Amino acid sequence: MTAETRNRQADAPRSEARVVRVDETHLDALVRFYRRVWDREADSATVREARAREAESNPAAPGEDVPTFLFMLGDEAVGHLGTIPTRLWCGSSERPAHWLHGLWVLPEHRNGPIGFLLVREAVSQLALAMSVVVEPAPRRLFEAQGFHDYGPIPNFVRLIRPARVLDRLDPVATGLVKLPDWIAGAVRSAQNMGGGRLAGATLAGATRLWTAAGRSTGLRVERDWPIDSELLDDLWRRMRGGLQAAASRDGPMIIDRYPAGEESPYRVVSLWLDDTLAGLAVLRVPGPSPDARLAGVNLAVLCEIVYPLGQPDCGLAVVSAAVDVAANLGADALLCTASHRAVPALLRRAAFVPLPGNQHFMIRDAEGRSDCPTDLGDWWLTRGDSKADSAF
Amino acid sequence: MTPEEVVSRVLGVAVGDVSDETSNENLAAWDSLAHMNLILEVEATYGVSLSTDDAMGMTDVGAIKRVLRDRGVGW
Repeated sequence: MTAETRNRQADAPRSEARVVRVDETHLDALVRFYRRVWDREADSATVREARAREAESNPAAPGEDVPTFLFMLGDEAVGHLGTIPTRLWCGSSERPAHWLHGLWVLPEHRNGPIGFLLVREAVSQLALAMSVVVEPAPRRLFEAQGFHDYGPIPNFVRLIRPARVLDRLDPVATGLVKLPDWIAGAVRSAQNMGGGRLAGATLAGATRLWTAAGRSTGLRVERDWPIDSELLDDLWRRMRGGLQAAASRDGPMIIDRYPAGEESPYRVVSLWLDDTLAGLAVLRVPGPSPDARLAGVNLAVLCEIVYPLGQPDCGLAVVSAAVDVAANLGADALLCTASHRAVPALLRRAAFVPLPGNQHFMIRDAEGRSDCPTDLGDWWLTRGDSKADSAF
Repeated sequence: MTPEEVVSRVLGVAVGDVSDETSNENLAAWDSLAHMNLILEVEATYGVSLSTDDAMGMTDVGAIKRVLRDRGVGW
């Protein structure tokens, strides 16, 4: 904390330091905070409209404002904690829950308890809170508030243009140490013979053969979006029956979360068997990877995979379709982060390789109910949860 | 346990090096996470629930003592 900041804090009446849950009276402070931190164009009208839309589609408490917390010093917000309402499936029923998201304290106020106090106030008001956290410091903060850390969610990466990727990184240094032996051997041989470009060509050939063997037939892939919400509801009901725990992937949630149109950063592929929706995948369009381990790689992110777990061919088909879309969009690689124990086998068949995870799943259940599984492998979590597709 | 002992334990400094003037300005180990741990430790040790104002103001050991005295807590 700088001396100037300390003086400013000391000058402010202590009684004016408080955490508030945002309502209409805090809107101006929220807008000023947004302008400073995230969006210079934010204004009262757009923020009010966005909050109204979110309230209307709030799956945890329909019609109610989505909980947002501000740390106020006088009339100014110096800290922010947002939430993403959802409904959590825990094996037999769904109940309201919130992802904590967007914890941010202005730099000049960071050497103090503001983040802690924001989280403490939020969890005192939210029965079931979850978060996806990368850095150790906020993980400690959440643990201090009673969150259980399930550990890092595994990553998987599919090399689409291996030559470009291998030109830019070393598979061993990035943790790509679990390549199938025959692919790794081919890569090593090719690298020894002539560098990354030749190795990439070898790997591309190998993975194409590998995935071609696993492609399903009798299924149809479409890219129209959005699709009927009730069809998505039906797919989600069939999927959740095989799951112990997951945030809802029902129609309203998926449609609201992933906007349609060329301006949207998301592309959706759906899998059909006649008129039945058999699977869905959502990917974030490729961009420069913010992950240092994949620096320089044009990386697409697989945000969602939705399919009935008892039909792994549908899962493979929809993942393969997502790979094709990513390739058509010019991606060098496709990153998937997923927790469930069924996923590694599925992704292996689609030529993904494991990459160490860094996004920790954390949860705090104030009701202490025992219906949430304790093993991360029982949870269906992906980058779509907590809008983690943009966080690395 | 004295407030000095609480600060010593949480921040990992010798209790003899902790005085009323010890603060987040002159002790490098007293960062935001340490501050959070101090709040939790003070609440647990003295059985009090600290307000936002209390937590914001507890930036030196003297302030911690004042907050505790205001609540009738002795040590």
